[in-house]
Amino acid sequence: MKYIYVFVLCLSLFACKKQVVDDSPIQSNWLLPLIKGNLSLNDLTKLEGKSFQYQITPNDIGMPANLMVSSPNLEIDFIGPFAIPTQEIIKYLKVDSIEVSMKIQNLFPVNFNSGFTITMRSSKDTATTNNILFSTTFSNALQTNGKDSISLNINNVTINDSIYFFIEHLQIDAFNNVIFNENIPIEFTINKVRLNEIALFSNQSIELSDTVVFDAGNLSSIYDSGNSAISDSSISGYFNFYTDNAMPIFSKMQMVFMKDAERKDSVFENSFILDGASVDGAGNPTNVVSKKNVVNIRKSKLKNIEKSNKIIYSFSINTNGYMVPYVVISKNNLLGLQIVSDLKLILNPFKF
Amino acid sequence: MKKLSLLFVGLFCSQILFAQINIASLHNQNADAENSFLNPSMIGNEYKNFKISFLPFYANFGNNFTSAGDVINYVKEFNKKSDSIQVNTSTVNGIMNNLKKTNLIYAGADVTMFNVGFNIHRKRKVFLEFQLSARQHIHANISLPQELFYLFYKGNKYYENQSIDILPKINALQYADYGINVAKNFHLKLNQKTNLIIKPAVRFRYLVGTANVNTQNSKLDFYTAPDGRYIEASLNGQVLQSYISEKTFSNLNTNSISSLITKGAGTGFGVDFGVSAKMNDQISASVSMVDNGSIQFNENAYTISSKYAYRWEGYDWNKNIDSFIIKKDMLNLDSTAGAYKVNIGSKLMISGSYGFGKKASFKRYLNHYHHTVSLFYVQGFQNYLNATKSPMLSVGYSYRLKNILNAGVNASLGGLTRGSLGAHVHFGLGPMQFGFATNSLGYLVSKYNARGVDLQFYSAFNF
Repeated sequence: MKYIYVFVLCLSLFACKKQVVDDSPIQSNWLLPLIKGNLSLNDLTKLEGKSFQYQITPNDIGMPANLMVSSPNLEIDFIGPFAIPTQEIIKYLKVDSIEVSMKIQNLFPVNFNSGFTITMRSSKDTATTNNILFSTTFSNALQTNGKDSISLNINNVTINDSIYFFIEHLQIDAFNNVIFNENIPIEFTINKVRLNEIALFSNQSIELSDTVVFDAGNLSSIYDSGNSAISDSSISGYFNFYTDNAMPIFSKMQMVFMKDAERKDSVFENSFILDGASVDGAGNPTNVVSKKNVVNIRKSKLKNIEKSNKIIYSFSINTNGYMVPYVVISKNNLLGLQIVSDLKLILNPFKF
Repeated sequence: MKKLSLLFVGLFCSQILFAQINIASLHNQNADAENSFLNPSMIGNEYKNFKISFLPFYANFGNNFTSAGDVINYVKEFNKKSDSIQVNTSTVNGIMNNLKKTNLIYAGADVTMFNVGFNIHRKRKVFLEFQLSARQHIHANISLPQELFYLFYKGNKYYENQSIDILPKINALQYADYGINVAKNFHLKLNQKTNLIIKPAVRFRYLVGTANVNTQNSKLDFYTAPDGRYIEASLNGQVLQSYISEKTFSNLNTNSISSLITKGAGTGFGVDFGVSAKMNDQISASVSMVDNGSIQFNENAYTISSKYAYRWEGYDWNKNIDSFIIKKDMLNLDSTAGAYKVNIGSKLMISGSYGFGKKASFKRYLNHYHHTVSLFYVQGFQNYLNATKSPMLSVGYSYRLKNILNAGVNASLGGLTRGSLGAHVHFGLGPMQFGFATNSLGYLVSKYNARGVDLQFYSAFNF
């Protein structure tokens, strides 16, 4: 009988389990891909939507400004060039297609007869027709104060340093006692461009920098619940920037948070670095360079950002170190980018 | 000392073992008619000629991963509505630390519609023992993988570069069975003082399935690539279902309901085996294998399958946002009408008992000791319906006064609820008898050991 009592007692003891109190915060670690995609040279060269304004002055047609003048018929062979420049770093651009629109308003006190043309040339030379990329003729006269616009679609052209526009074969009837007191505004807008290839001179760089006003708002509501017992923030971790670069360009990017003249913090510890692909003798890329840049999200950084009132951002690209005269980027050479968060969250399991 | 050592070794081993059945009832020798459904050789032990039961039932609900105490504590914390991250996390941490590899939630009921046992005598001795029964069963079992909880609790970094199946598995079955059980005693006289009775028994069951759903073979694999470069979810689903779908319910009418009740949606056969040995009415041992059988569902039976993989690498600005939305046709859902077969959850049970104290006799046919200690071991073979792969070891004591009173307690380890304390009581008033049993008394000792609740009631006429 005693064995039975012992047996039941032991069984009960084994069945009972002491509660171990584990009151540590619930920490959840998440790896989550946020965003990804490929950038092509068409994405990086933001030409679309760019506008360029020019003016035709009375001098361009051989008339003085703000004086009463009279003239017999005028025949002007060329007015221009009106250049849409490319960057100095660019050796050439091979364009699959480009769509440019032009707007003109005749503010001269004389009419332009029908039949004048707008010509787009790859160089300033008007003595040859070999550099004409596109030409279109206005079939209607442009009256005083009249407006007109045209749209140019050009395919498969190579542009070197700039595109040059000319107004050619302009005819004006004889006029008496008129005053040229205004210029004629012309606006060119690149509506659409599809690049096939771009060549960049080696050992060149472009740097952009700007300062913008910044207000982080109430960032503390995100990083801190106001609980002093938790030494770290409720959210911390990293944003990992993964790049796979098939373009032969190096780049560097940074955003610095400032409080007036005082540097408070920056997005990247040591700038976002992008290494360029290697090239062959013709400047064509031969490999893909993968790199990881890390943004550390910690409470102190978020606090610093909250205190900032402006951001200085800087961006540079260069072709330094290449031993060929120029490097070539085709539309198939992509820059792959992916941002993955590696976050540590402190969870409240009683709050949904 | 040697015996005590063996006892401790046995108890320790039972900790690493892992079936949910009404174990408390098994310690009640007077509930032989009900217990015979777990061992067919238990019929005929407690009556001379005839026994008829009146709608006895057993219902239970339980799980193997969280206790009543955990749930109470969680609700208390939840009601505080705290916005702070400094909350009492011990409850949640405790639940998570106690999770099993497979976490089960089970609910079920067995209702005996008709149960008659009768003995056939020859030369004033029992020649054959018979039992006719009709029962209704409904069992539902949900298994939740540990990985599902940990994924939300610890985050997917915990499973970096691992593929984990996070799909809960559901199986539910409602069926009726019509059984005939037959047993025969074989008397062996080993020597002048030792009589041995060996009783083999077998129950044949005609099974009528009413409704079923089974997702046992479905998988949802979740994979986090190194450094989180991508996350992939691969669904490989297979759902067997009969009379479960909304469409089926909407098409139900008086005739179809009548047909469902009488003919069922599927039929099958089952068989239970058992054999027991009793020596001098004092020591007994038995082994049984029950719920061996299957049901083939033919009516409104469908196999729904789906295969789909979704890979997330971040929002891709090169793609249209519509490409990230999962549409129904992408899931490759296929519903095929056709018969399928499901089993009913086999279990193995081994038991032993020892009677001591004063020996008594009731109406000359029933000899028993006032005190009995019994031991049961129950083993399921899969986490399915009312079977679990977690073995159960139970020891119990009962005090018996003829057929008037039988009361006892038991303690169990393993099984679905990982341990329980139970009790039973039986009253006999002449030919009429009734009793209760439960395995839910663990709460009285500690709310942290209570992971289920159950109740059995029976009443019968005994001649």
